[in-house]
Amino acid sequence: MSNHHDQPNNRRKMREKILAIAAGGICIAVAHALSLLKIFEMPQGGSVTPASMLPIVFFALCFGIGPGLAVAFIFSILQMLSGYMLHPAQVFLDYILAFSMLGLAGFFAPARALRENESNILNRLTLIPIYKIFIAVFIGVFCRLVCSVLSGVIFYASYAPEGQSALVYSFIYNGSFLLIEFIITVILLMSFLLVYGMIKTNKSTNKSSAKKA
Amino acid sequence: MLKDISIGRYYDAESTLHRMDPRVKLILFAVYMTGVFMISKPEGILASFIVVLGLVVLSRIPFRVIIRSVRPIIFLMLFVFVINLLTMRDGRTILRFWIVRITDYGLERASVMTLRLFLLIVSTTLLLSLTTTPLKMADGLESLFAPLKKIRVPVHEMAMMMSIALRFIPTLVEETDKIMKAQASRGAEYDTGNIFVRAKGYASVLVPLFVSAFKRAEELAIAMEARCYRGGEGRTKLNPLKMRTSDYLWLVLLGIIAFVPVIVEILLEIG
Repeated sequence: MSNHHDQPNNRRKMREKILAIAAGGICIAVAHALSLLKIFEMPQGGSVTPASMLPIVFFALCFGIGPGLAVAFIFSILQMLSGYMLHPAQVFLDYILAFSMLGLAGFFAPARALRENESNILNRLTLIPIYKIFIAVFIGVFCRLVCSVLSGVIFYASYAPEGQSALVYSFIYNGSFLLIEFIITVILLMSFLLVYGMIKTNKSTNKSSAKKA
Repeated sequence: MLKDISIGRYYDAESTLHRMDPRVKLILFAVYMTGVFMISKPEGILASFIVVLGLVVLSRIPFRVIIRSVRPIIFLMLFVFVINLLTMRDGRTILRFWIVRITDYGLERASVMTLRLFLLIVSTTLLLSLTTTPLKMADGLESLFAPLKKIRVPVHEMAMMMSIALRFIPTLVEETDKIMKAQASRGAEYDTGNIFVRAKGYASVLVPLFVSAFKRAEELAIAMEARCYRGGEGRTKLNPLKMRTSDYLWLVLLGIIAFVPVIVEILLEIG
């Protein structure tokens, strides 16, 4: 067994797996810490946080779709534990599905061989075109919006008499605070990429010019 | 800044519910959610009220703590009450002014719906958040979902990540707080000004926070590798979960009690 593990290829695989576990745990912790900070709070409990979904999106971008979905799912369970469970469908939509969808950002991760060559996690982000990072964030927020609107409708349908259209109300309510969350996330993401990109330019210009040559 | 760093809403106490195996509580959580959802009559609500009261006694959690955990959803409860009261048209009119007409049936529905919501929140938070530490919950989830390993779901790895996250949340919350104070002393604003000023303040926190967090992750991975961590296969636990006879008994007993209100309603229907 130990012989089997010591082959260089297996060792690299194991190293990547351990790195994913460690980084996944830490990313969930950062996301949870950020979700405790509230920029604005809605009377009904929705709140705008300083980009608390960004660590999860970053993780998915750095480690791919599988680990990304796993980490997003665990984050959703932690959010659920500090949230409220009103209806089985609401728990599933508001927490499990809404946050797990953040893992879809893994679709935009760099090719496996490319990303696993880069042992510095944050450097992996620089392998992705910037517009893809924005699309990943947008998809994350959009899926959350769809889930929240649906959950609002289901909640309304099971707690209020029939014949009322809740879709519009749910859409306006959830849309308003998720739009603010999206704007904040984009601003923070931009400033992050700006700062990080600027640090990198000095080093990477040599690399890229070398590649071209 | 950050005041409350607790994860979930665990309340420490010595009680039967606290000692119960987390797996039992996770199953009962699903059972109670279904049970409370099946009641729709005042008699059922009353029976359910007694059942939930029994759970409260079993958990030895003071009433004020339970009331505190319900406080954030008071708005939602009011909303449910008012919406039901105003839109229900069936039944005898008991109050009429301007365009508002309140009927006795509407009042009954509104009360039933609001109380059902209340009972649901209390029973689920009692069974999970208030009496189970997140770490035990992670253990319980890992064990309950273990069969999924057969279809190659990395259950152990996910539980490991959850434990790491739980271990590092206090550390990272403290670090966030430290960075926020450092940046505030350089003029960053978090609570004042418009959304852009606040976002700018948070941007100055996010960059150092992410860089240091990822560095920490890399160091942790090296430490794990150095200690020959190889994933789930053959790994043992310091405190493995073990179902005792009392756990099985409570599972059956509380599982049956969960449906007593539903049975009461059915009996009333027949009789």
